[in-house]
Amino acid sequence: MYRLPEEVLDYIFKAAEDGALFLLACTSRQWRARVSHRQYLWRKRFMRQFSQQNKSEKEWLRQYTRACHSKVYSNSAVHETPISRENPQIDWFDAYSKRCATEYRWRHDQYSTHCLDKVTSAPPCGTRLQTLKFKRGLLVASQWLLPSQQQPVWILENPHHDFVCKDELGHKKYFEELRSEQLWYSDDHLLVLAESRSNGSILLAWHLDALHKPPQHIMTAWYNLHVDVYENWVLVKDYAEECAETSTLLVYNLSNNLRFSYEGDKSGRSRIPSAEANRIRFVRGVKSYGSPEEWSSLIKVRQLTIGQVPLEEHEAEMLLENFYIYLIEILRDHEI
Amino acid sequence: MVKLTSSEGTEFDVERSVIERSLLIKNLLDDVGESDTCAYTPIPLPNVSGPILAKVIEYCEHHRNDPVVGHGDADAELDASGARVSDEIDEWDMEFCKVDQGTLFEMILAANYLDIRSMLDLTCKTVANMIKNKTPEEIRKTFNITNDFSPEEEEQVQRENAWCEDR
Repeated sequence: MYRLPEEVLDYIFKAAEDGALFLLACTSRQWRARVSHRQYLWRKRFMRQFSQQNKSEKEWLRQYTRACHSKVYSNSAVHETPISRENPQIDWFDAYSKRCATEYRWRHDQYSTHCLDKVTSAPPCGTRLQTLKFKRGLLVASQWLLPSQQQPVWILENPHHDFVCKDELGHKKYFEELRSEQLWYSDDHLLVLAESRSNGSILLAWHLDALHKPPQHIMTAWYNLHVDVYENWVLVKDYAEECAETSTLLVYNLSNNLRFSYEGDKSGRSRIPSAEANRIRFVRGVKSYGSPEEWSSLIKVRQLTIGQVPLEEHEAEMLLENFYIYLIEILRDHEI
Repeated sequence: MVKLTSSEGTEFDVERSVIERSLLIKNLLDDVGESDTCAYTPIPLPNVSGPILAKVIEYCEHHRNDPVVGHGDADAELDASGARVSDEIDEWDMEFCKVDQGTLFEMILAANYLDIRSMLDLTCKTVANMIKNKTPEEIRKTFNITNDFSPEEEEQVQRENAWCEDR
């Protein structure tokens, strides 16, 4: 089989089962290299086997990428600011193997349990692999890969604050209370609503890699805020007074602090059905007609693309017939 | 009829419609046109030995009425249910591939050279099935692979691939 050309091996590998190929890769260094370097094949098989439409799978790949990133940069200086994770190089053969190994360990009860009871006093220094989105006060449980440890460790943290933050103009805004029941997680951020007698509601964000640092101010409003978070995009709508015909809608990118706000239709809910790093689609201005059994809804889908000057807008109207009350959830599920 | 010459100079007379399963020969004949010269001018195939060419012709004769598989289907590695298709080899094809390993690899190379996609698929699936349900040691024995891992490397590789037991 040594003398078969690479193009022929491609055909053989395409016909072979994944497990068989991995066992072939276990036979010698040469075969390991010949099997593993076919990144196109492994990426394709990974995507087919572990669909990235599935949120859990997406999260697994994100954690894997972070762990790889931390290995690449493990010798670099301690990062004071959150590290960039753009354009990670993924070894798809390794990712496929690790993903299968994860499932194997779960199926064979090969996992360990950790009891988190002590909140750390010192900020962790390493790479955060994942954060549990659990709501126990404001406590945040994250798994970290520390330079001094071979295995990742779980750490319980409390976001730091001195009841003060700075808005985008640098003005200090004081608050009295963080509302632990009003919190949201994005990929890398924790968002919490703070209450201030002098300012109203303040939406704050901490990067999960730097909970020891002061929070980032996103929006202040006198009214209740409706918040939707999707990956690193935030959509905030304030519920203005009864007499007001419009309300403010803020689109905020947590990765680069870009913000875009405009007056929206007060009556409609606003949600983010889908988003990518530089593009967000959101729906707003839902108007419904007909009976609850046969509900037609007029929605506006707006797309913002971070690009030239500085945001590119596109708005389209869609008439969706026979959608019931879960319209927005349907949109999100189908990534319209 | 078309005359083919193997690497040793052995001549084979084959019906044009049969050997046109080879895209290489089909394109060659199409380029030459309908003239009678092609019937009398042997087509030299220096990369294919006589016994292997005989196998190729046997394959093409048996499958002469099958639809031609093109390169557009190159990525069709799964069936509709998402299962691998390597098991689905019919009886005649399976018997056809019951040859020694050296011959099988020669057939793969010939199918690749002559551009007979369905035969290439069949022979490659046969090799893929030879890897299936075997331990690394059994695969080494089957394909005469030398284990050049250090004991530490081998232990790590085995540990990392323990999940393959479930496959």
